Amino acid sequence: MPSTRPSTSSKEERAMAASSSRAKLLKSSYQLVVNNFVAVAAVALAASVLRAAWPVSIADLLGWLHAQRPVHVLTAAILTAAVAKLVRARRQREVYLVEYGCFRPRPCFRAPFATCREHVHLLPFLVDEDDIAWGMRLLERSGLGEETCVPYAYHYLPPDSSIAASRDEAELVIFASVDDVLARSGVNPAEIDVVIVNCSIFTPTPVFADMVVRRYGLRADVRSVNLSGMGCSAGLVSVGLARNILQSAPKGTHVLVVSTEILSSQYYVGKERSMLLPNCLFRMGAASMILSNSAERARFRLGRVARTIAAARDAGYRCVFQQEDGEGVTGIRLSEDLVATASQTLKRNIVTFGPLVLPFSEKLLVALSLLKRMLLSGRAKVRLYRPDFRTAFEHFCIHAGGRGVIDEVQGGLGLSDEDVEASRMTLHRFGNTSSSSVLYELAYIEAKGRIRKGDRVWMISFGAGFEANSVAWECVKPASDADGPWADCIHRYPVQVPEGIKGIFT
Amino acid sequence: MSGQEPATTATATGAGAGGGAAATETITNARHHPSLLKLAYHHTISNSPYILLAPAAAYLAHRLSHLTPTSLTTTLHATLHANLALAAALLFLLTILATAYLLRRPRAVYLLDFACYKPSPSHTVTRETFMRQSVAAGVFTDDNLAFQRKILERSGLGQSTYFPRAVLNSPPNPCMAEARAEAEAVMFGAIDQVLAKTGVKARDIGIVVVNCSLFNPTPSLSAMIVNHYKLRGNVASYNLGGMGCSAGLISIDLAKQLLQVHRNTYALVVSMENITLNWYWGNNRSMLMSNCLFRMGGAAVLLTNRGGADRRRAKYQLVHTVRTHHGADDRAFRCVFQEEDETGRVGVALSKDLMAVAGEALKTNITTLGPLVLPMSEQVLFLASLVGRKVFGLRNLRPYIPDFKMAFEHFCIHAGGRAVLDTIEKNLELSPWHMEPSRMTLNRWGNTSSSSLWYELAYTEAKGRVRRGHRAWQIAFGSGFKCNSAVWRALRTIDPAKEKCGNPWVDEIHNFPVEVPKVETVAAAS
Repeated sequence: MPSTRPSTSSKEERAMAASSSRAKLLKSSYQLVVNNFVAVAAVALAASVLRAAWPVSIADLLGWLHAQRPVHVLTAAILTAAVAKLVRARRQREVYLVEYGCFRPRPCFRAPFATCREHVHLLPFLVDEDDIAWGMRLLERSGLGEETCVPYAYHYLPPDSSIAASRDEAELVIFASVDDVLARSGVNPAEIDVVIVNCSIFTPTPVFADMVVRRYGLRADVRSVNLSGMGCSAGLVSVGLARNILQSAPKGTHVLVVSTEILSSQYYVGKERSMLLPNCLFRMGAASMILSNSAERARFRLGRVARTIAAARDAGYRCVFQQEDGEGVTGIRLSEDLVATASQTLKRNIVTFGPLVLPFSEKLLVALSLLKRMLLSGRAKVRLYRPDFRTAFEHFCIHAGGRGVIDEVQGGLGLSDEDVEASRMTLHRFGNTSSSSVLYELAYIEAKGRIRKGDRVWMISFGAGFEANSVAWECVKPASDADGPWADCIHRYPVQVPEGIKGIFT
Repeated sequence: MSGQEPATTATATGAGAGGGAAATETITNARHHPSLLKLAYHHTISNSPYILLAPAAAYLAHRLSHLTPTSLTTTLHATLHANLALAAALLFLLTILATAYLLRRPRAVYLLDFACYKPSPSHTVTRETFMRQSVAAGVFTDDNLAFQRKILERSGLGQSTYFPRAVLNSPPNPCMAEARAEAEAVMFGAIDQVLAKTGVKARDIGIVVVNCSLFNPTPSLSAMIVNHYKLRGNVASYNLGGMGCSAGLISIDLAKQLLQVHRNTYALVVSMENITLNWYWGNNRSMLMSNCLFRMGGAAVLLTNRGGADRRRAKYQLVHTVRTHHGADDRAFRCVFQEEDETGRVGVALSKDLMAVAGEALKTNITTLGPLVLPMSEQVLFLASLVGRKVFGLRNLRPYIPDFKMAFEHFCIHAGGRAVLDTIEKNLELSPWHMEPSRMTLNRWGNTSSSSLWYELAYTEAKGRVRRGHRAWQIAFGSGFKCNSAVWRALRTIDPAKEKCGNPWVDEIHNFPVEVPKVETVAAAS
């Protein structure tokens, strides 16, 4: 952090820079050697074999082959072929992201701070000046900008929380994002075999998945799944579900995944501060993805997926909890220890995910530090080596849940400010759009033109349940245009987000 | 069958009135017995490969009768020696084909056991209680009270269906906490029983799928289960919301797909509906219907893809699931619709098109299912009628409706209401014996939404009707509009005497079937 670095003379600075560049060189050469150990060993072995048995002509080999009994040769061939076939069939099918699209709200949905303040003053339930001051302070420090958008229903006085308003919002955001993804990918609606929609807080009958089927006239044998109540990480849960379905489905199956949060019905009109938080943080948004198990038209290849559920612990289960307050008004209570629970669950998730994705060099360092700790147990406190995830990923999409959690993840993983830029800017421009936020972040990175072929992206999200999800992607084809949700504002980003006081979600 | 069928069914069921035993007799006798001609035809076609093979086998036996073992081995040896390359190539091909087949074959999914929740007697709601609560609510007009009474009289619901506490309280106190309490009672009640029955430990469960259409809190119901049973941190849990009465089979289908990828594990499927927050307090008649029909209930099903001991003790194997979605049709999409009425009260409106839409969805579903399950004899007849109509233009040839009784022994049709059951009985030409589980479930438990299919299968088991090799068909309809079906094959004969826990019928099965009159009187509420 620039603010914490002590001021030093230029000489010391130069010396430090030199030593740090030496350390960097040492580290990168270490990684190069360790990670390519197998290749190095194979080359050495091949060289030694060639040297030992060099004067071997093709004719000699053929003669040796002739000497064998044909039955033996055939049997060997059959066995090899069968084993190869077995290995190929057992290998799980690769899953690809064909394309994704996000809802881009029109400026008329904007909720600048001034409007929020005015609305709060005009609403009859929040008369306490203290509460209003608290809410505004929270909003200003939350990391949200002046351009975030809320549904029409919130612009009414009092807010319209009817089912009809929610349905309008759902049609607006979901269809816009699906239209976008269909247009960009060129996939015909008739090609879609599975629809997965996730929305945590609101579930009408017929449900969003049915709305998508109706609007796009999907086939009668389409399999629809609608996930409810699964929190902000449901977007990646849907990706995991789509992956499971695609791995056992015939080749060429297309899955449409829609992640959204429909807010209209959930404007909390009570006085409890812990339940007022969601009003300040959540903003409208939706994102759609088309996943497939054929590489045709694919833009990203899905890598490892890890899911951790901490609901077995009561603290985890209750830390984001929908309930009525003392006066019977329904809302979502965010508990005090949310950041602590989130970081604990994330840690567990990373412990599962790390070994799957980290290069061997980092795993070796972790193992060595573990060994050291075991040997020195009791005598000295050994800090466990924190693996550098930047060796496994070029880009990071951390769920923009709030400034507090982004800070926590950044600190915990040792990421730079550039690594978390996408998350902070998404929070600033779109607010916490729940399960769709990670895709807005991917769109940010793409709009900035930073993704190249072969780049790896880590999406990490967490939410009610409590659960944390990690998904790895590898870019197959970078975007041909940057015409995503950021089209009209990317030139203004990154912006400087004013520092705030640390606290829950702020 | 005539259009009068529903009426005759009801009366036939109670024809031997004068005690449960007599009624049982009538029903048992009414069990479907196809005509002799049809049976002969069916066996001929279904066994035609064997019949054709018989002469060839006889001829071969005649030829080979001259050979001695020694001459046989010599001939074989000589042939093999002459065609060694060919034999090796054939063996190669066979190996590849066998491997490919074994690997491409979907993994078998077994139903280890299931349990249905039976609420305590304090939750009982009679038709009179229902009317009393409705009157006490003070929001319904006299016309609409009379309407509710009329619906109740004709609904086919009996005198011991169940409501959650919050609706039975006076005054009712629907709130989030009560709804969670209902969900906990229903889900944990059913899961406790299924775990006790199978002896599976909660920690061994790898997949959880919960479906509940109208109540979807945050955190989800699946998280509630993970929290209560302290399931593993890497359990694949999914909570399906808003998917209507057919969601039970959607969950089964989803669990089946997950079991193709997750190896050697157990999948817990929980189907339920929550009444507490979904009691309609307005005067829109199409929304009042659901108040009269929906009742409390839930079921837990334990599926597995483990072989060995679990395969041997499993009750059923999942053979097929077929899903149909008619949401692309606007009329179908709107026929079960949650919205506000004119006064802003939320309810689920059932449209008048419901029966027609359900009929169409059923038709699409069985068109897909038919070729998978029907015996050759039925398919030949169906094809003949199709060819006759389309190719030879025989317009007045009646389209052949395949006899699904040839494909299944047991039918579990979603007990959505009497009208739905009547329509299906007529369309599929089922006998009262086949309809009995569905009708008795509607009578005893009401429309318990997605779990009703499991109460029906439990009824079939409690009656001791399930034998090894029998096939059961579950079919459900629900909002969207969706029609889903699942086909199970019994892996063992189920002895009702051993089904002490988890089967909600077991203590009272001797009272069933009961007579369900077309109209029952409801004593006027004072």
